[in-house]
Amino acid sequence: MVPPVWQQPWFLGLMALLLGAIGFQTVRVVRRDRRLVAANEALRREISEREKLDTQLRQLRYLYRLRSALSAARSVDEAIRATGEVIMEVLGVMDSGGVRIECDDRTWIFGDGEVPGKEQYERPLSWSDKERGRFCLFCGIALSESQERALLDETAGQLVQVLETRELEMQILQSARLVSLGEMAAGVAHELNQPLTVISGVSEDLYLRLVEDLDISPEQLQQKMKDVMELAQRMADSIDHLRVFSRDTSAEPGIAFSINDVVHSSLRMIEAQLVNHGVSLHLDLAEELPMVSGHPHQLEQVFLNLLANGRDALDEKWEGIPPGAREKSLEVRTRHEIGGGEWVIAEVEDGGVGMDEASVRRIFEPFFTTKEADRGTGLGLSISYAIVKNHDGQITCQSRKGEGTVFRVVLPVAGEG
Amino acid sequence: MDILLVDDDVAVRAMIGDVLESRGHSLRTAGDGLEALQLMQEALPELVISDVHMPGMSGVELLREIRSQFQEIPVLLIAGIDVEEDVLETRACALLRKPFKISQLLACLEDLGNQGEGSG
Repeated sequence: MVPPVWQQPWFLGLMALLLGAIGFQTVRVVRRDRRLVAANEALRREISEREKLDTQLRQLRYLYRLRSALSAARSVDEAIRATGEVIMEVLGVMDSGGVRIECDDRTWIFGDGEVPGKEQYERPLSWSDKERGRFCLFCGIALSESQERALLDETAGQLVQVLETRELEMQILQSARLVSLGEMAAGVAHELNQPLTVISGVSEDLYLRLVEDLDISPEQLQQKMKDVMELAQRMADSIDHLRVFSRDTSAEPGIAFSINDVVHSSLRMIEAQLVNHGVSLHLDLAEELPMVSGHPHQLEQVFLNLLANGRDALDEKWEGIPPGAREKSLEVRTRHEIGGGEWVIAEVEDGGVGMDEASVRRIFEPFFTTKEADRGTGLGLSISYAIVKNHDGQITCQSRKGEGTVFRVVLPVAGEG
Repeated sequence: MDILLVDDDVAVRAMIGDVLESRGHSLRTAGDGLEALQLMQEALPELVISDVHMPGMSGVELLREIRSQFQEIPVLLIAGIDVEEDVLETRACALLRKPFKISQLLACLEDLGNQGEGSG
């Protein structure tokens, strides 16, 4: 009897082969499947990674935009405006929204401002151990954790950093005014003392002559009274000038002015001192110099400072040498230059002690000074540097030890961007 | 008295000059120390009035030059601010601070004139 088919060895062999093939295929399919799942997972991870990177990139771009906008801001107001504008660009893309920034009792609103029903986020603006204001953000959608970090924490942090720096700079500029006021005190006393001496002398002389019945003609009397009036006016002008000089003008908008006028008004403050120190002054000021824009009284401090430094460098060089043999010369030059823009250049050159290269490299650093402790604060030039930079200009120094020093101030012509 | 007046400020020079001339003194003027020394080479005055703060040579330096080059001519220094007080220790010398009274100026002149006569 022939056994049934399923008992035939060939059939069993065939089945075994079949099962083997199926098993093999299953294993392959399962393996491939696993690989596919793994690949899918990798792809998904990559996509999410990319998305994350994309978000990070957008956030970085935003932070970069914010940082460059903030670094261009020169005042508290400009810094807050820059922040508001940059953040509104982002909010505009996401959904409508608004920003409110409060700082020192002032409020700035960008976009819709406070709208009911919108998501609201808030961060304090604090520095120097004090809460100085608040940064509030309103937007139509809820922010993710990373968005909150970039748009709120980072923005508030950067804004605080800039506001604190600007505040310190303002304080330094204000104290610079004090430094140069001290610098000027001797000059001012001289400036007022000269006319006062003559006024009091002439009037007492006239009084005594009248009392002693000494002869005096009406013409003489007339001339003397005219002199007194003119001198009184000279004193009034000096005081007027001081008043303007000591006022804090940093918050006021800049004006267009001539550097030559600034040179003249700083000389007015220090010329008497230069004379007292036996310094001969040479002026070479270009006629029809284009205007520059900014704060003339701040720049006056720069020139006062440069002139005072020149005077000190000359004093140091000629110390102990008899007056007849001294050559104390200080030169101020201005000119107009075109090249990569239009510029006004002012130079103050002294034939004083000069400095070595190492000192020149550090000369604009705060508290760096080549003078003796009781003469220099080491602040004058760093403040001058800050003032010139605030006017979009440059100040540079060239010096040779034993021969002299030139300071060059380069400022853009008004209206040249 | 024959007086040499040294001051770089024209207005101050004119004022003091007027006061002195109206009181019968004869006057020569110089704008700085070197010019004053030149004038003194030509003829010695009886008294020198000099501003302290002047370009080139200060009044104090002029005083030293006068002491080393000439006899004890009385010198009246007129100072604005920040002048070393030790110049006062020099003999036949007085210091007047701006702004001063004409009466003070005249009193100083009288004092110094007497001293000059006493030592001369």
